[in-house]
Formats: sequence, C-alpha cells, structure tokens
Amino acid sequence: MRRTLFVLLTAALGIALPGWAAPSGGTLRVGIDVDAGTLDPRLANDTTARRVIEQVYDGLIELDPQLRPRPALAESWTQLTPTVWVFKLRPNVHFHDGTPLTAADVVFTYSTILDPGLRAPLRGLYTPISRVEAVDNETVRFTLSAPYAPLLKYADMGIVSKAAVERLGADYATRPLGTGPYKFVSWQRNSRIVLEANPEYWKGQPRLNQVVFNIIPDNTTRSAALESGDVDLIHSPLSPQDVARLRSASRVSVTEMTGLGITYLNMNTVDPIVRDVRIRRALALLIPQQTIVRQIYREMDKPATSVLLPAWAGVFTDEIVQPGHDITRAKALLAEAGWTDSNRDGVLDKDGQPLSLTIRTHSEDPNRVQVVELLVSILRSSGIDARAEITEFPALVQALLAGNYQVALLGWLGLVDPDRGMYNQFHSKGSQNWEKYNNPRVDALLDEGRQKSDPADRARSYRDVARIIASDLPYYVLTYQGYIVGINRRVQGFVPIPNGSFRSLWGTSVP
Amino acid sequence: MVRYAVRRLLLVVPVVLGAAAVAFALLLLLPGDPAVALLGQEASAAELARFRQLLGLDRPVPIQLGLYLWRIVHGDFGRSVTLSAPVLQLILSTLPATLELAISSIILAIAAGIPLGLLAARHRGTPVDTGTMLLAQLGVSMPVFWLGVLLILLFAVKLNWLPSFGRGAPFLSSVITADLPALADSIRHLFLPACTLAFFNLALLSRLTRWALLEVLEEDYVRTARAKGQRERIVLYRHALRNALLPIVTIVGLQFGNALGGAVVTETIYGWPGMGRLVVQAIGQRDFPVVQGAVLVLALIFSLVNMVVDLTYALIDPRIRYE
Repeated sequence: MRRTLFVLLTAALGIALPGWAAPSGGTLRVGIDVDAGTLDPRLANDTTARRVIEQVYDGLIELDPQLRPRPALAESWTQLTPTVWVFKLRPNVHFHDGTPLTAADVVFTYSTILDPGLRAPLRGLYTPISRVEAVDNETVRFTLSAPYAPLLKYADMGIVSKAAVERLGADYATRPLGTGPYKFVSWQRNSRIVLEANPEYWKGQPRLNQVVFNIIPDNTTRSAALESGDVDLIHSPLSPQDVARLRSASRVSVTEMTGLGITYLNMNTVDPIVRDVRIRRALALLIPQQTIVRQIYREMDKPATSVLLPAWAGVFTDEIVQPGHDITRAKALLAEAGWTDSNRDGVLDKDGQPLSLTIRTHSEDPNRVQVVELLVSILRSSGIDARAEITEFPALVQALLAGNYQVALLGWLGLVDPDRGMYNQFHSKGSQNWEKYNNPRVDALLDEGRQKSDPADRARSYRDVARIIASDLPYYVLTYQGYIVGINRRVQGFVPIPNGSFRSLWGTSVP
Repeated sequence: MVRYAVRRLLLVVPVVLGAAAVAFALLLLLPGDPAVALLGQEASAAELARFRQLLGLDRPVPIQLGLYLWRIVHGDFGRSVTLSAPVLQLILSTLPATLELAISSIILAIAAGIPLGLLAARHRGTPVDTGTMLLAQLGVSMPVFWLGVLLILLFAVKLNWLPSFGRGAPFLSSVITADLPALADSIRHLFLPACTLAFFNLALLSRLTRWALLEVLEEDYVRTARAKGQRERIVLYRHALRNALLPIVTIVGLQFGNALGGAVVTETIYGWPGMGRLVVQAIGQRDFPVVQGAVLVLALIFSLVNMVVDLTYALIDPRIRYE
C-alpha cells in the first residue's frame, strides 16, 4: 500500500515539473469569489450570477462605463408620455436554441418578475410598472403607475426565452438560455461555470472561444492563482495585502476605481437614545474616518463625503459633507443633549440612565467587524457605554427589519442610480427605511427625483436630499467601496467599469 | 459477527434520524431565516412574510419537524431555498469530491503517521525521537489555513509545479478507465489539499502510535518475547504493534469523521468543490433543507465508519468477540 502510494505521488510530482499549464488561445479563465445561486436573470441576486448572466443574456439596454443606457436588444425607445415608454426591438436576434426573440419574450420576462409568485428578489425595482404589452412582434409598451425616471437603467434585466422557461420549468435556472454573446455549456457547483462563444451574436462573434468562471472562495488563493497564471482575471473582494503583492507581480496589471457600493452606519431614528439628532451628530464627530480608511481598508475603499456616489456623474459633488472628526465638539454636543457623568462612574448619564449604545454588524466581513470594534473602544473612551453585537448576515437583517437595533454598520452595492441609493432608504414609505427616518421634505424631493426626467432637475433634488441627510444623519456614510480588478497582461480588450459589469468580455481576447 | 453487523446496521437508522431531528432543532434556534437570506436586504416585510408562508416556516415547529422526517423516510430531501436545485442532487454532486479528499488525506496520514510513530518509539530518547515529535508538535499546532496558503505560495506561485486551486478529473473514474493523463491531473490537484488536510492527523497519529507502542513495550509479554530471544523486529511488529493498533484504529475512525466535517477550511482555501463548503454556505444563508440533508448524509457515513471500526477490533484482537 505504502509503496503504491509513494510511486503514485512521485509520478504526480514528476509530471508536474515541466510547465504543464498550456493555455489555449481563446479561453479566458476568471477567478470568482462565490458560486452563483441561480442563472435565471429574473431570480439572480448575487454578483457572480449577474456576471455570468450578462454573458448569456442581453437586456433591452446595457449600461456603458459612464452608466448611461445604450441600446442592446432594444434598438431604440421613446417616452410617449411621462408614464408610457415604447421599446423597439432589434430585428433578427435569436436565442441560443435558434428561436427568434419577439416582443412576447420581453412581456413574459417583465410580467413574471412582477408576479409575486416568482419571488424575484429585485421585483421592487419594477413595481412602478403597471402594464407591459406587445404592440406588435417587435414593439413593447411599458405603462407606469407614475413617472419613474430610473426605469431605463433597470431595463438591463436579461430577457428570457418564454418557450425555454415553459419547457424547462425550474430547471431553467441551471440551464440558462438567452441571446447573449456566450452560450451556457456547464455548471459544476462550487467549482466552475463554462461558457462558449455564440457565433450568431447580433453584435458579431465574440473574440474569445470560451469563458470559464472558476469559483475560488479564498481571497489569497484567488490572488495566488492569478499570480501563478492559473486564472487570467480576478476582482473585488480582495484582501489589501494580496493587492499589494499583485501590484508588484510582473505578469499582472491592477486597476482600482471607486465602485457602486457604500459602507455606512445606519442609525435608528426611533430608538430612545439615537433619535436625538445631537447623539447622531456626536457619533459622526467621534468617527476617525481617515484612520479607518487608512488602517483597516488600506485605502482600497475611499472616505465618503455624503450619500452621493462619485460614480453618479452630474449628481455627485464633494461640497456636501457630513460632520468631520472632532472629539471636542462631540463632547459638547453630548453635554448639550443632557448627557453628563453625574455619578462619576466614567459613563455619561441622564435622568439616572447610562448612555448605552450597541453597534451591530455581520460576521462575514472581517473589515466591518474591525471597524465596529474600533468604534466601540473610541465611544467607551468618550464616556459612552458602547457594545458590539456581531451576528451572521441573516440575523442582522432580521434585527433591522424588526427595528430591533440602535446603530448598525453595513453596506449597499450596485447603486447604479441615485434613486437606487436613496429612495427606499430615506423615503418614509421606502421598503428599506429600517431607521424609520421621516422627513416630508425628503419624501417630496425623492418623489421629484423619480418623476422628473431632466437630469439637471434630478441632480438638484438628490443634492438637496444628500444635504439634509448629511445634517440629520439617519445614515453616516463611512466609505465609498473600491472596485479592484487584477488581470493577466496577456488579456486584451477588457474594460473594467465601476458597477463590476463584465459586458466588455464580448470584445476581450487572450492571444 | 454477521448478526452483530446486521444489528449495528439496523441501529444506524434511529441514530441518523435522531441526528436529523437535532440538526433541525438547532437550525431553528439560529436567528435569521431563509426568507431573509434569499430575498436579501432589498425585500420588504410583506414579501418576507409571504415567502415564509410559502416555505412553511410559519407553521408550528413540531409539525415542521414531523413533516420533514416523514418526507425523509420517503426519500424526499426537498429543494434548496437559495440554490435552485434539489438537495439530493447538490449533495450527490459535492460528496464525491469531499470523500476523495478525506480518504486520500487519511491514507496519507496513516502511511506517514504510523511509521513516524514507530520510528520515534524505536529510537526513544534519541535525536530521531525528538525530531519526529517536534514535527508532530508543529503539525498539531499549525493552523490549516496558514499551512494551506504557505503550500500554495510555494508550490503554485513560486515553483509553479502544482495548480493553485480546484479539483482535477475525479480520481476514482480516472483509475477505473485507466486514463493516465486524467489520473495525473487528478493527483496534481489533489496533492496539496490532501497534504494540508493530512498534516494534523498525521501528527496526531505519529504521537499516538509512539505513545501506544511505548506503553505496550512495557508489558510483561514483550519482556517474555525478548527473553526467549525473539528478534527485535518480530517483537516490535508482531507483538507490540498489533496490540498498539487498537487505540490507533479508534482514532483513525474518528479522524475520518473529522476529515469529512473538518475539510471545510481546506476546501475553502483550495476552492475544492466539496460538501463542506456547501454546508457552511447553507448555514450562513439559513438554507435549512441543504443543511439538514447534509447532516443526515454525514451522520450516515459517520455511523457506518464507526461500525467498521468496531468490527475491525475483532480482526485485530482475537479476544474480542461480538455476539
């Protein structure tokens, strides 16, 4: 037994010695952090699923690197009235099984998303749509219940084949079939997803023959795989120390940009303590934002100035700022709010109650855990009886939904439009307004932003909201999340864009 | 012996169902439920409530448990909540990778651990003993994730000898089809994860073997064997080692269970598509059907391995008879 094993192992190492990795010409090997949950675009809710789906499917529109809608399956569109949109489909587009794309497929895609029975996670983005109908084979009309400016940006949802969904049922989620540049080949759970070029693609045949998504959950292993040449492309999340090593690796080029995510403190505005805006401001003044970004995020994420994202061109301005780091002012504010150390026990109190504060976050993100631990120690040294409560993500979300929290550190991703980053978060009727923030002025501004179509008008509304939020502080935005792509220098034509989209794989090649 | 084996086999059924019930109860104690995990932070409270109803999470716990056990007895493991696939299909597609890794790591651990322990025991108190036991000390105290990263950086990045992640062709099928390139690919991918997972067990086994042998070597019958002029090799292998094997077999059985469950870290570091990762992700996302199904399968394997261990005792020690 021992001898056999020894022989086998020697053989394995012997074969290993000559450079085994012989990459074929047109294959791009992507290293990705998590497996996809589903490959049905209507049900997808994770970053991997989205990246694979972008290759297999097309939406009515696609977003360019500046996040502007560009024609995809829809050749053109017109807004007939503020609540009626008409999309003209590109002729002669076929699904991967050869059947033609028709208006019925578009109607089917959107009406099933809107059907609560499908349980589409992003259904909320489309609920302003009251009706979708096929005018003819190549024309689709969307009727809205109220004007809804962001609709166009959300129209990048992959269009599914009605016939294939009806034929495959639940299996459609694991055997995706669309009109995109790459066709689905195979999916081995927790291992790899393989796609091949669609020679009939309407933009023209993609340059790669094959795209392989390798699922490598460990950040360090994923970086090592790029460094050793086992994969050609990796992206965030990456650990700061690994990025530092990649920057000095000869065969790798690293691109960094500000992405479409924020990390923020959510402050419960109906909590007996936190509802006092002076407490929220004092908290903001106590946060050493620059130190956190430097020491914990190693400057991969950037210090945020407000809820406006730098990627929102025309809306972002760094003139709107949240309170900066100022311990003296924080202490003055706490005193002004009536919190003093009357019994000399080192903890501030008011009416016999100590100033206790629990900051929650989720255990999956070690950086967030570190930030919360740092904040707790800072608050304690300022006389606040602070505690950290770290749980897994589902438990945190449950606490937020129940309003059972004071302050929580978490994040938002994929904020392609200001509406996506603010409406549901700050509108008194917003579905993610867990902090129960209620400001009629903000409600009116957010409704305006949704309903106006002139970009300058929208920008003004969202800037006004951001200014109010920076002062009322239901959110304190800690960082703008960075987006990092590491790529083998052999790879040509890949353009990283802030929303993490891989649409440019169509024109990518690996000589 | 056969009757005993059959009886043990029948006992496996209640043990496995018990494990399923315990797993079920433990999951209900966790805060957070699959509705939240699946719909994410974008979902509204109304959507969550509707979804809970669809999953049957709004029913009384005993009814949920009863329905669950009833379905299991009928071979229905249910459908994953977060991954659009049946639970049984998910388990069957990841179990072979985990078994491959666990078995090869145990073989490595036995093949290296027992000889090292023997070596140390034979040369007790010499530098050989000290060196071997230092290595063993390192093995039991080195964290798996650290060892894994070191091996990757050395063998994949620096030397570029072995792949940094993933599983090659399935080992068993490439052996059966005698497909040599596939077999080589399989072993190249298997080598680092198997070594990483084996290191702790190897260290433990070598320490245990040394201790068990030294214990046995003090026995009267060993002195008798030596006194009657037996060669040291015969004394060591035939008289001492055979008796020292009992605790070793016990530990190997337990280690196999640990290798199945404990492969999670190794699987994560090496991107190994095994069941450990599936289960840990499922726990994090409160995907109850997947966790329950996997616990059931693991309990089944663990019970069977334990049974084999018990039966092996009788083979090693003729005094042990099962009625």
